[in-house]
Amino acid sequence: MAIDPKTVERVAKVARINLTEEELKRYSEDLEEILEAFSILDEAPECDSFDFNPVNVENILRDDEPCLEIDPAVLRDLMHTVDDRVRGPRVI
Amino acid sequence: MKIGLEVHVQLPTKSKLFCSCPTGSENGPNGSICPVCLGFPGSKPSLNRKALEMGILIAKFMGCTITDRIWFSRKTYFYPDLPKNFQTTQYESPVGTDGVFVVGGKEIHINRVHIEEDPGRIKRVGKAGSELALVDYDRSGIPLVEIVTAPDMSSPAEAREFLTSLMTELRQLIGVSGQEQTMRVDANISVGVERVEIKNITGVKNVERGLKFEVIRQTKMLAAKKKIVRETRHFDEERGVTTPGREKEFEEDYGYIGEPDLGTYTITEMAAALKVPETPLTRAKRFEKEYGMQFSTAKQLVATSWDLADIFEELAAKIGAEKAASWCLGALSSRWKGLQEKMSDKLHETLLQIVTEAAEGRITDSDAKLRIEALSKGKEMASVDDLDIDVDGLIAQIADEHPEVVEDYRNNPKAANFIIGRVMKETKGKFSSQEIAEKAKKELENRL
Amino acid sequence: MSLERFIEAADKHEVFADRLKEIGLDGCKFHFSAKDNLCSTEFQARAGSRILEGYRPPFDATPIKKMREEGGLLIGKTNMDEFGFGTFSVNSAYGVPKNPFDPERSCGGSSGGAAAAACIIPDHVALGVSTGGSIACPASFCGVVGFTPTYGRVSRYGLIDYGNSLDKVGILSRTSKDVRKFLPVISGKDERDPTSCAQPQLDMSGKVAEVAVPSELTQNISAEVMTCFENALKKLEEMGIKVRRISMPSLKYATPAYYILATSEASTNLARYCGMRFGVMNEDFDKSFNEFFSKPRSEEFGDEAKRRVLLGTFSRMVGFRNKYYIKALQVRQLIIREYNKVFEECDAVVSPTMPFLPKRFDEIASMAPLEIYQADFLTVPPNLTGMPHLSVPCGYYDNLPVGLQAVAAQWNEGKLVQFAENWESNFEYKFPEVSL
Repeated sequence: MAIDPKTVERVAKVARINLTEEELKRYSEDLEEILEAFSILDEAPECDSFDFNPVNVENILRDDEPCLEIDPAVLRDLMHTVDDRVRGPRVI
Repeated sequence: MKIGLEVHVQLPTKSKLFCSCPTGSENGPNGSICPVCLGFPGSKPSLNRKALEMGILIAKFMGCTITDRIWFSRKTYFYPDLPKNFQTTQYESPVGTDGVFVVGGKEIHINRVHIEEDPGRIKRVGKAGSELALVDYDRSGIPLVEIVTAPDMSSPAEAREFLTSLMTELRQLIGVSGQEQTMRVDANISVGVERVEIKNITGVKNVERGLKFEVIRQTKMLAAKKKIVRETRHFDEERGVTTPGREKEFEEDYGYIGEPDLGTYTITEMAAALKVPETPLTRAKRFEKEYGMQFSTAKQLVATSWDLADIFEELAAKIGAEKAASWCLGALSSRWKGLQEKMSDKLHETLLQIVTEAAEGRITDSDAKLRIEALSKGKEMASVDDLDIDVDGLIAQIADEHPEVVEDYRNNPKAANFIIGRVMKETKGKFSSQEIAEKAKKELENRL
Repeated sequence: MSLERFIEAADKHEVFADRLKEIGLDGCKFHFSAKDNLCSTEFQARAGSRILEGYRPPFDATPIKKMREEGGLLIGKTNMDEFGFGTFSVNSAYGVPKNPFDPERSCGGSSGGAAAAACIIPDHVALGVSTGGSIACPASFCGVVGFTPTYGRVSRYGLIDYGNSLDKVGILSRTSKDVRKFLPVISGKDERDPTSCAQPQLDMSGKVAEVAVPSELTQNISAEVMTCFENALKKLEEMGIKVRRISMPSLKYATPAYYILATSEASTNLARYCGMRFGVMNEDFDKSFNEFFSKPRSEEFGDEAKRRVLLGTFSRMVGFRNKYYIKALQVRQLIIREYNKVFEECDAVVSPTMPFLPKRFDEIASMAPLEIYQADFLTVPPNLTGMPHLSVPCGYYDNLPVGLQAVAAQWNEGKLVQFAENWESNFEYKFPEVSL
């Protein structure tokens, strides 16, 4: 078994998604089927290297020059700020 | 006792780590923000060269092995101050590993040095227990260097010494401001076997306070044969105590993946091209070795001013280290504030000349001192005479006015202090107390 | 231009997620649309997701900006699967685009609206985005040319991320002439997207003289599609192009590797959608932050988005990361090497674009998620490896279009454009009469 409902439950918690009983059952079955098929990867030959991009993206750097292209007031409005601060949930 | 530190220091770049927002935010809250540091959909990060260079320089300075190929990773966790709900940091490929930092002759092993972004800042409002978060994202994306030590420190004082020395060095190395809030520390401490982590302490003083509290707490618990639990605690700055962190609902799984938006960086060549400048403590160490100075004296000299230490080295070459040190730590050091404000190549040369002439006996020491004094006040050499106050006359005058002091001096040498004090006041500190004391004692002795 | 008639047809086919109400083309050289995951200040950018309801980006995506600078008018944002998660464009919160050849059938996905717009509206250029085949697939289903450049050729600044190491902005149109004209417009280095700064100069010259057909990509293909494809190969040979039959064994790992990487990246990209700052705003501030974040994510994400977030989160978790995420990264290198070997001797790798004719919506409803994922096995390899590729109509079966996919080596876009132009001078495309 590639994945069990208990693991799916934990994955959903890590991803901050509440699952109903029905969803948990359905996604568990889907994921099990998908991962079962994906286990073919285990047969793939070892490869000595990996990269995070399919093309070589190396040493692309920006100069340390400050600038603000968009007025922060516009962004604050978009975020519905109160006293210029963004409202959020309880943190304690 | 074992203490290990994870030190986060804000790098003094002009713009943020992955976007061009200015770092010095005077228009806050949320006055220095853009789609990138707010994590708006569609925005992309772009790495600040200067921040990378500063990170490499720090790693190099600590003698770390520089990682040839580095990349950034996404550390995913959900929190209101984290705009993307992942922090762009370094995981498998820190800029440097396995370095060392020497404090008080003791080697503290540095496990790793890496670069990451700072989250925003949360202001808590409302009733305790049901506080809302009001978030300011000006800090979001400020570059941080994280320096992780091995648990090599054995007291809170040593941890403080480590952090103070580190900040001294970083000030010279990359120009960190040295303000308390530029440094945040996670401290691990185990008095017995089990390790406790104090998270997110701001500033050196609080680290020492937090650790001291933990030492006492853990020692008491051990004495009472209680078990210390491995946990994360928070330091309450106001009360000076550590408290257990709130039980998490579950353990986060950061699920690190590489950041494809940035690509990779091959930094060996870049690191080789960066020269590590001499830092205050390494310079003091060299003075100790090269000029036979006490380390603490050398440290004091370097700490007074980098320029003064330069003058010292130039003088040492001309008149010998001993004399150079005596002038630099005496006359020059005591007038340094004034001299530094007016420092120029010409003044630098003039100071060298004055001290050299005095050391070679071509002018008297007191003449040299007067000239230095004048220079520190921005006066031209010609007007030195203005300062030529008749100290001896002044002492005689005061002694005339107060025969009881002269009488008193016979049995109590401390009575001279009255005259010394008066003269100091009258001459507005233009002469050293030592100088005046000598003259006053001489005058009083004569009158007995 | 009597655009109104066609726009009306497009509306009927639910092509647009948001579009200009009044279209005045005065002063514009051409009109174009953009997939709904490309940001532009004058439209909402919802990427097919309910969680982005109301989001008006404060900036323009670089490709849109460049098209405007060239004199184009952006007439609207095209419908798509939520965040690009789908093969049939049925996973949108804002309607399902209908195939111009048969409204009972899918446009393909995830750039379904873009392909339909390109098909229905003459002289229209649609900007699409491909992560695992989201340009080629709908181009094939809607009978248009779909061009996906090399990864990093076109700036992704302003593109709402699905998989950052896979996403590519491309062009859908009725003719490859538009690719020749507009690919140079949208290409080029953009300092706002570091991955665009690694590209060599765009070279629009080049020629396809020899193509390779991997046996792995001619299995599990429907008979209708296979018939059209084999006829197309014959035609290529008549045109003087050499056709070589080869095997690329590593391609069997492409689909799992793709889905693991794409969902791993997607699950981190979607973390930011949490009811704060943009899109749907949660007002229940007295909830703990976990509860607060979970609510909009659970309520607004669609079924497929949840599935992919779960799959991606799992693939990078402690204990599974090496087996899935890291392994998939390695497999990608393996496949790139195999492609490069083929390109030492051939100019392009060709195959059908999709293994079946445009599916009817009732057929799609009964497909299991894995079955849908596996249907991408032809388009996934070039996408996983960042190779430029295109789909051109190569035949019609029962009045439904069939696409042929050609893949070239990284940065060899010019060869593909020449190939498509050459094909077009030997094969006539058909476009459906749109009903009003």
